[in-house]
Amino acid sequence: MNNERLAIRYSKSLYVLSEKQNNTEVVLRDLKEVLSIIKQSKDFKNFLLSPILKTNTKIEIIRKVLETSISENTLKHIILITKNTREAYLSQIISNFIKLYRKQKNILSIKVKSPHGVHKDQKDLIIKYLGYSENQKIDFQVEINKSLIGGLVIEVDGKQLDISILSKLQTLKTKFSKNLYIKQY
Amino acid sequence: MGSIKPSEVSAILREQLSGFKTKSDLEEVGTVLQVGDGIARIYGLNNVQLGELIEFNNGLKGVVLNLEEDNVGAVLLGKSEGIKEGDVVKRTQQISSVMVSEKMLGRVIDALGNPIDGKGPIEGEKILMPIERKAPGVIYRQPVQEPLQTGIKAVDSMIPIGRGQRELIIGDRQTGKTAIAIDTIINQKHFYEQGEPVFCIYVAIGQKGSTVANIAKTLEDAGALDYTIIVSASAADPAPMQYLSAYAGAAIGEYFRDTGRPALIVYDDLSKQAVAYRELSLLLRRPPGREAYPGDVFYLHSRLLERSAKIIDSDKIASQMNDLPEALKGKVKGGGSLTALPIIETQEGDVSAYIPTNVISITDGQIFLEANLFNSGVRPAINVGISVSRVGGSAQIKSMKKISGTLKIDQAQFRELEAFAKFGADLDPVTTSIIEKGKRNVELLKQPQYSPLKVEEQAAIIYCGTKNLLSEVPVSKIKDFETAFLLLMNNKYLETLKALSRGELNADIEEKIKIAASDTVEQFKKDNG
Repeated sequence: MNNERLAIRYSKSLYVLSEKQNNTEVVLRDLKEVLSIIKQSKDFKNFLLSPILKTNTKIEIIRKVLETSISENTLKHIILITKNTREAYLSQIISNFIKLYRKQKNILSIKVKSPHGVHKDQKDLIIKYLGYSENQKIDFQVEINKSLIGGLVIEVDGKQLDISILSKLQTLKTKFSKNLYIKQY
Repeated sequence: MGSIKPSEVSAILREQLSGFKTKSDLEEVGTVLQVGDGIARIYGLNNVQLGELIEFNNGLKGVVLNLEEDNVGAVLLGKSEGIKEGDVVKRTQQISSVMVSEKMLGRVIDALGNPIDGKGPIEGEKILMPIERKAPGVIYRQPVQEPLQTGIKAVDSMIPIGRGQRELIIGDRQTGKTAIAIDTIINQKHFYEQGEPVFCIYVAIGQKGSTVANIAKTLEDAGALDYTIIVSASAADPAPMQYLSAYAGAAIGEYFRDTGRPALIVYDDLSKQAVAYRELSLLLRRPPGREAYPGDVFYLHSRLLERSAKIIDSDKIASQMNDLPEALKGKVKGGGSLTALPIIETQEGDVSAYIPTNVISITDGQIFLEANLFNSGVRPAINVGISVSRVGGSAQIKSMKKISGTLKIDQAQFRELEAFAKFGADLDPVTTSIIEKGKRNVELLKQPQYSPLKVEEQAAIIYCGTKNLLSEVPVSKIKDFETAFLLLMNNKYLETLKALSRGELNADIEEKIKIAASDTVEQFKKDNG
């Protein structure tokens, strides 16, 4: 399920409110916590997506699950989202909030996929290669992905540098999947 | 999988590895939000352009057709299997285009210019031509003046087509639409042998694979494949390929047109292309209009057919042509042409349906084929009464123009009286003579498939018809008369035929035709028969 426009609206309203109340950092931490719960617990994700459960039941469960781990303000907002029956888009709203936060605070997000992880030296090298100064605030995320076999995939600002062995092999595979000496009609 | 010869293996390896990139660049990417029905919605790709080619993880290509507020709509140029939500999509920074090469002649290719005939890669210098390109402006054109000989008597005499013209072939299924187009292609062999080839492009849209194979074989057997390129998007190909194939064909035709050579393109057929476009428009959720076609279905065909043109003779002016692709600059010559023969299939002869009326209004005339005529043995089943050519008259050679001038009116008069005569009334001698002449002309205009005639032969035989030289030959013997007459002309009066082909028609030539006709008529007179 994907609804970009909806996610932008909810995340923006939450961001503006949090800035007014001067607790953006708290809300961000809370939301990251919720996002990790959604990612880790399949049951919780399915629960959010479920169309069978009534809104009141959902609100009660959400309150019970999140009450202890997140602040009251964030919880209120999540409950509002649930009341409006938009809880299925929660993870998207949170991702958008994080994006918005980064944009406002001028933080650059670099995501690196690698089969073995990234050393500190490598990290500096990547940042240098991408042409960013040391003063730039960077949110550097590393994702271990064994299927890449070797090499790296660097994602930054809607762009991607794919120097993984997997992609090279895939290119070769597609190149060889066509045989121009076989009639195709 | 077919077997590969060992000698071909190295060629394949070389070809496949030639384009293999070892270096990687920072590429703009997006992620697939939704995929299905040959359509993908993509998040990201912020700077992507309309009509740009994009590439999916598994090497599949797509074309961007919708740029929306929060996503990009693209059509897939292949099977959507293997593409998942969340997959990465890359920009190629390349507007959809097709590689054109002289070596494409004699080959069967798909809508993206890849060979599909199993004859290996296309060699030679390749020029990248954009699939969508604006038609040449008014300054770079000139009126149609040279004839495009179809080799079909009924067409070349009464509905003449000029180089650069767009002449629609329209009719129900099984009325011989494709046959006219194929005959026209075969008839260009004569020019190919003379060293002045008219390059032909046959675009098969939404046809059966077996039909395409048959056409390729027919052309090959007739020796016409050497100057022909077949672009095939068969019924099994995805709708976007069927929609794009017509433009790809036009792009190939433009290459010949802009390098100063004549080309002929057959779109077989545009009704199926419109259906393919309707399919993808509806899937992209564009609002449907009449007959559920999208609002821009007229533009779909008008922009395609507008690319057929006769280019001005001056090289200097032609080289400044609008929207010239980068690769073509410096190679442009004037005097080229692209003639289009679009085909439209009607349902039950209904020409007032949406697509037929659109294309009729866009083209410079139409050849109308009728099932009734076809079934009564008049083949090609051209309804001369409603078939027209709006600009071709000025392109007809002079001799043919003079000879066939009255033929159309004669035939119209004949049909009117023929209907009247069916009531069995007694007819006066004038009426009888018109009907008898008309019947013979109908016989004369019949022509078997794949046997185009040279224009001078057509002129000679039609002269016999219009001058009523055949009144003594029984209608059933007209075919035999024609064969004998042409044999005699070719053997004894070759000079006369040559003069006719140069456009000359004087008393001497007329006299010779009359003599040849009367000599031949002797053999077929009613008493002898």
